[in-house]
Amino acid sequence: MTQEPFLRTFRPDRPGIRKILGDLEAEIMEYIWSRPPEQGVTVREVYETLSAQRHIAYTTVMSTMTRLAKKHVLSVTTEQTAYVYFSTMTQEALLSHVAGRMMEDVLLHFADALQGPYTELDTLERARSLLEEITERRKQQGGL
Amino acid sequence: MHTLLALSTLLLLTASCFLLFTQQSETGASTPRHWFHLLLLTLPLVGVGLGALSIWHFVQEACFTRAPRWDQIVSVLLPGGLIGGLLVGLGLSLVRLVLVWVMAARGTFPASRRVHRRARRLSRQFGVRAPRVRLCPSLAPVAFTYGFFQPTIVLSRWMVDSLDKQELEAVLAHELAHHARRDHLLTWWALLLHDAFCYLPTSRLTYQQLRDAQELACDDLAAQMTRQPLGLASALTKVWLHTLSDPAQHASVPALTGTGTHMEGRIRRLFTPVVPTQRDTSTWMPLLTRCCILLCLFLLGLFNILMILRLMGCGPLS
Repeated sequence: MTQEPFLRTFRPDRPGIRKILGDLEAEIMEYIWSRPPEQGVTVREVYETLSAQRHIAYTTVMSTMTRLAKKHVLSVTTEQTAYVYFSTMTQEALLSHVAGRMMEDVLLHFADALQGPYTELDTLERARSLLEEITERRKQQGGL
Repeated sequence: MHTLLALSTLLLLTASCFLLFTQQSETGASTPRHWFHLLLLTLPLVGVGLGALSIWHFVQEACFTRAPRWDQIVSVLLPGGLIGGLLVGLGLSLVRLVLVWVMAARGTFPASRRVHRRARRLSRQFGVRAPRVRLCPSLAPVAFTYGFFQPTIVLSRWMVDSLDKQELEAVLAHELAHHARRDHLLTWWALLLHDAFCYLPTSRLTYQQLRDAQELACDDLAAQMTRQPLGLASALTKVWLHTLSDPAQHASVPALTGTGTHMEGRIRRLFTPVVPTQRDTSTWMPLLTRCCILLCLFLLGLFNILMILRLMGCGPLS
């Protein structure tokens, strides 16, 4: 059974998938998502792709992919002696899942804050119109 | 066994309070409801009385000697807690009373002769002693009355500066209505019981309902005396607006009003003032019947306890 991705960080100032993943994590995931989903990937393959672009240590890639597996963004299987990683969901599905969770959390914990200002303004408006109505009635009765 | 007896008494008492609380919708008129609230608040005192009796009994008699040690301790702690709660409530209410007197005496100054004249004229209408009117230099809406024999009305600077003549007169009439109805004495007693039995949800709810009912009754009385219900409605709306625009300041001071839909309803009902009617005696009968049922229920519970004590070979009936 696939577990839900466990992502706790959200950086509003970063673009796209980097809002919820670190730079290297995002680079690795983008590489994996660029391949057919049923085709797994080893640490060696990812390392060779990334090291062709810049200097990076094999152990860094390995530990990052392990971390992504712990967050349930990647799943891992053993083929002979090698670990093969698969993405648990597509990029769109992951973003949609995280956005849904965040909205749920905001609505659950900040419902009062979301409703508060509108309710207060509404009540204030009602009180003002009530005072106007009373003043009008008092004028008609000759009380003012 | 002692613990069981104490707990069953408490349960019986709480259940009776809930039973009585659920019956209050049947009482329509304000006067029976006023006594009804008092009865509901005073009812837990029976539990304290029973608790004191049980402690006295345990001290006098060596009953249930085979009962474990914890049972004896709990049997004293439970009624002791009830009595302690009552003492704390009494202490708090006395402290509150003294604080109001001291604060009102030190932090206020006499109002102008014009305000005093208005208050005197209104007091004659209400048939009560002329009140002293004092002002406190607060910029929040504050209006309250204290004093058991001669009323003292305390108004804030905001009240005098922001309300017009009619509105101020309506506020003075509202406060005098509290004095004419002896509300401060009743409120003091109700608050004492509310503090003493704050662990009972019925006490908290009843106290709030009593306060709301007092405010509404005083609104009606003030509207009737001044013949200017819209003046009071306007004053209440101004206070409400101030409360909404500056809730933090309002939270720290006592004011005339509540908030929200309750407040709007309270103001709107002044548009069509209630015409005083003859007291409907038919509302008393169901109330009296229920009181009798409750009394029988308590006597039954007491009799039950005494019978158990007798069967176990201890207590006054043995």
